[in-house]
Amino acid sequence: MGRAARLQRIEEMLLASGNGLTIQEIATSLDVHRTTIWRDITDLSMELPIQESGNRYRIARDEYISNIKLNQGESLMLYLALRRLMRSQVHLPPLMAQALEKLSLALRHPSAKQLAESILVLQAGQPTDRERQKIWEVLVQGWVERIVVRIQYQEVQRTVIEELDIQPYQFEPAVLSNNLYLIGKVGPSGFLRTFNIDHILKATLTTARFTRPEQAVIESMLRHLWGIQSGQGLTQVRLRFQDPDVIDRIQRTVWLPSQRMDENADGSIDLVVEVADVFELVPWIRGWGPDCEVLEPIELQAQIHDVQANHGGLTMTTKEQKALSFSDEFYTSLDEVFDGERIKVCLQCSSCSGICPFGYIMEYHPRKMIAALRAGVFDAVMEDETVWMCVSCYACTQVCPANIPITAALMTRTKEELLLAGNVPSELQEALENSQRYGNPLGESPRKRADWTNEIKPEIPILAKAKEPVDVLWFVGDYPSYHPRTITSTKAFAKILQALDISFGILGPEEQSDGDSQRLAGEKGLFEVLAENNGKAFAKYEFKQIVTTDPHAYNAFLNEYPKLGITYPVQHYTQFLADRLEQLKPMLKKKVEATITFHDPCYLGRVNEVYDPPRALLEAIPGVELVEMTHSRENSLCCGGGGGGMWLDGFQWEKAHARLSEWRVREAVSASGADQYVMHPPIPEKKKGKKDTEARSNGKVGILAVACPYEAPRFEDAVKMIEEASKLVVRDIAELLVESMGI
Amino acid sequence: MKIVVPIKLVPDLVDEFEIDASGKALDTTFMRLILNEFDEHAIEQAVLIKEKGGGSISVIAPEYDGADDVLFTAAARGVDKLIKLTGDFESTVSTHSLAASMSEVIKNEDADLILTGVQAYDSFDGPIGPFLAEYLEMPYVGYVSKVSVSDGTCTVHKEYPGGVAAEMEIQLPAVLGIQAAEEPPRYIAISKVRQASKSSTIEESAAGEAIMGGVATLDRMYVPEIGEKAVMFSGDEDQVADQIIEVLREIGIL
Repeated sequence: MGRAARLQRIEEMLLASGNGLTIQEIATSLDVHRTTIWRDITDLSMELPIQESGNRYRIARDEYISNIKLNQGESLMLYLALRRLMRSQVHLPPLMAQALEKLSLALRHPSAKQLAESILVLQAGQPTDRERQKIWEVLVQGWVERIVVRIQYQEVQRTVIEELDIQPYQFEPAVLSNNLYLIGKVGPSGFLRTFNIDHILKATLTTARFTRPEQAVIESMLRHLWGIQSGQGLTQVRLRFQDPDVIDRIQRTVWLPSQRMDENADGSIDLVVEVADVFELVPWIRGWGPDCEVLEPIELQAQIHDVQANHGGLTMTTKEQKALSFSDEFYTSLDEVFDGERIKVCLQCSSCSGICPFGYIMEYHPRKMIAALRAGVFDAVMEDETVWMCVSCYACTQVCPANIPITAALMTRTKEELLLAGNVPSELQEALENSQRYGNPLGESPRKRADWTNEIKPEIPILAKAKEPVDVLWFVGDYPSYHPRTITSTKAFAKILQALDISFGILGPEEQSDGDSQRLAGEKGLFEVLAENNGKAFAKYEFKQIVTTDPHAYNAFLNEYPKLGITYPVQHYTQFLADRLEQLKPMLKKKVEATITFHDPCYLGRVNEVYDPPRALLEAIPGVELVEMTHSRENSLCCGGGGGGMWLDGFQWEKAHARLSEWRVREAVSASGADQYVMHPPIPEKKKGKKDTEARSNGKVGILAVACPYEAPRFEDAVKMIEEASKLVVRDIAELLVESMGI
Repeated sequence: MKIVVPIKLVPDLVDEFEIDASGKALDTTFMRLILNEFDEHAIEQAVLIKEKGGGSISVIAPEYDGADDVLFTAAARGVDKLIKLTGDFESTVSTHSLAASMSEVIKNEDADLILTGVQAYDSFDGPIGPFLAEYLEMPYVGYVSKVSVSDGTCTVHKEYPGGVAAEMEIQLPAVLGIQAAEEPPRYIAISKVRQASKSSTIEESAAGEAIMGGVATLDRMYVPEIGEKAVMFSGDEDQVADQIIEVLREIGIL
C-alpha cells in the first residue's frame, strides 16, 4: 500500500471508529510500524480535525469536511445530476448552487488521462460495448478540448444515417426522461442541434478546433427544448388544468424553462410552453389523464383525444395518487438517521429478533417491524406496545449482518412516534415529566443534586463556588447523585480522585440529566433541551476534559452532544483510571480475595467498544481472580435498564414475568462459582433448610463487578430474588478499588 | 361547545417549604410553582370532550412565574386559546378574589362549560369552582370524574364517600369541579411544547381589584409540631432500623 492510499485508509479508520484508535491498533491493522503511523497521523492532523484523548485518536465528525477527490468523469456525472435537479426547483437552494460551482471548477482544467479514465465510469453499464465506450471518450474529449467531432447519427424512426461535423457545446440530461443529450453546432452552416447520445453511431476526432459561445447563448437555446429533441421551429402548446389539487401540483414545479402560467377567471390555469418538438410532450400530457386538456395545437389535441378515447379508463390521474401513508412516511424518515437507508438491504434473517433479550415476547420484534414497513402496514406496529420492551442494548445492531442501525434508527424512531402521539407507559411518562421539570428522571429537587457531598472531607469542589480552572469536570449523573445505593459508588470514586490528587470539580445543582436514555426512549426534544442546558453549564467553566461514571452520559458526550455543537473530550471513569494505573497500583495494598466477574455495560462495551480498561483495573487489585461470564464483551447481556428500561420495570414485568437482571445474575453466579452447589445438583424443595444450605455451601464469595450507575441497584434487587445468588456480591469497580486502597 | 378551564399554579412539593420571617407565609425565594394536578385533569377532560364532539377550549391562568410554560403545554395538548390574568399574585390571593377576577374574563368567553380542578392544596378559603359558579350564576357539581356532553346538557359521573357513585344531568352552562379526567393526562413531548410556544399567543387580561371580604386573617404558619406522645426517629437507615427494633422489643413484640 502506497503512502497516499495508507493516509486515506487511516482517515477512513479514524472516521469509522466511535471511540478512537491507538497508534498500535492502526499499525497492527495496516501491518506497518508504529513510527510510520505516528508520522502519518501527525501529517493528517495538519488538514483533519484529529483529536487525541488518552492515547486514542479520533476525527471530530462535526468539524470534518469530506475530502472527495473526483476525476473528470465523476465530476461530469455529478454535474449532470445536479443540473437535472436544479431544473425542477422553483427556488434554487444555495447548497445546490455551491456544489455545482465547485464541480464546474473541477471540470475547467481537463487532463486527457483523467478523462480517459472517466469514460470507464460513464460506460460502467455497458462494459462490453467498446464502440459506445469509444464514442463517449471522443465526445468528452471534443467537449473538454474544444475539438470538432465527426459523428454518424440516426434519428428515431428514420433509416437515414447522417454524417456530421459538430462542435460539442454542452451535455444535458432530458427534462422528462432519463436520456442524455449533446448540444452542438453543426457544420459550417452553424445551426444548433441536439443529439440523443444513444443515437450517435460513431464518433471520431477531427483536427479542427472551435470556440465555444458564451454560456448564456447556450442556455437561451435550451429554454425551448421540451426534453431536448431536435426539431425545426417552435410550436406553442396550451394545456388547461381545472382541478385545484392538480393546479397546486402544476404550480409547484418548473416543468420547462420557457413555461408561462395563465390564470383564468373560472379558477383554471393554462400552462403555455413553446417547444421545438411536441413528440416528447405526449407521454407527459397522458400522465395527467383527464385533468389535462389540450387547447392548442389542434393536431396534438386530436392525438391526445384519440389516446384517451381508447384507454381513458386506465389513465392514471393525480386524483388517485394518495398522500404518502404513515407507514411509507416513516420508512422514508429512517433515511435521516445515520446509515438509516441500510434498512432497505435487510435480509429478513431474524438474527436481530433472535438475539433481542425480549424478542420472544414482542408481537412486533425487529425483523417483523421491518417486514411491516416493507409491506406498508407499519400502523399495526404503532398500535402494539411491545416496542417498549426494547432496552436499546444494541445487541440487534451488533449482530445484524447487513449493518442496519436497528437500535438508533428503527427502534428509537418508533418510540419517538409513539411518544409524539402521547402513547407512553405511565411509568416512563413520569420519568420523562420529571426530567422535563427537574432535570432528573427521579423527580428529586435539582437544588439537592450535590447533597451527597455534604459530609465528605475534603470538600468536593463545586465549580460555581470554586471559581478556579480544573483538569477534570466530573459529570456525576442522575442516579449517582440521588440513588442511595449508587451514591456509595459515587463517594468511592470521589475518594479515588482525591487520593490521586486530581484537580477536579462538579457542576452540582447546575448539572442536569445527560438525557441519553430519555433520547433512546423516544424523547429526542427533551434530550436536546437537557443537552443545551448542560452545554451552557460546561461553557461557563474552564476544564480539560469530562469524566463520568455513567456509560450513558459517556455515550451522550462522545457521540450525541457533538451533533448539537457541544464537544469536549470525555472519558469513562474506568478509562480515566486505567490511564493512571501506574500511579494507582502502589495504592492497591489490601487483598480482595474473591472471584470477580465483570458485566460489560451496553453503552461502554457494545456501543463504544471499551472492554479492556475496566478489566485492567480489576486485575490490578491484589487477590482478585477475574473470570468471564458466558456472555461477555460484545455479547454481554443487558441489565435491562437502557433505552428507558430503567423506568419500565413494572411494564416489562407485566409483559414478560422475567427480569433481564436476574438472567445476568444467574450467569454471574455460575461464572464466579459462588455457591455452585445449589445449581449442581439442585436441592430438592423439601430439604432446603437453612442448616442444610450452610453445610453444603462452598463458602466462596463471588463478586459481580459493575461500571454503570444503573447496575448496582438492579443487580442487587435481582440477587434478592434468586436463592442461589445468596453469596453473590455486587460492587462497582470504584468500590472495589477503594476497598483495596483501604481508604 | 365552548369550554373554559380556569387553572392555577401551586407550590411544588419537591423542595421542603420554609416559613418566611413574618411567620405568616411561605418563603418564596426558592419556591417552584407547578400546575395544580386537578387542573391538569380538567384540561385533559376538556381535550377529551373536544376530541369526541368538537368545540374550542380556552385556558385562563393567573400570572405566576412559569404560567407561560403551563399555558403553552396546554396549547400542545389541544387548547385553542390561552389567557393570562395579569396582576399581583405574589402574595397569597384568596380564592374569593381570584374567582371574581376570573369570572370577569369568563363572561367574555361565552362559555358552555367551565371545568376546573376540584381543589388545590394551597386553597386558603375553599375551592374555586363554587365561587365561580356563584359569580357566573351557573350550577356547580364537584368531584366529577367523567363528563359527556349532548345538546345543551351534560351528564357527569360524581363520586361520593363510602363507595357510592352517581350520574347526574346538568343544564349548560355549568361549572364542574374535576376530580380526575376520564383518562389520565397524556404525555406531551417537549418538541410539541416548543412548537406551541412558537405558534400560539397568550392573550393578557388584567385582574380587577382584589376582594378582601369573606377571608379569614392568617395568624401563624408553621411546620407541624411533635405531639407529646410521639417519638421521632432520626439518623440513617441502619440507626432508624435499630431504634425501631428497640421499640418493638420494649413493647414485647420481639
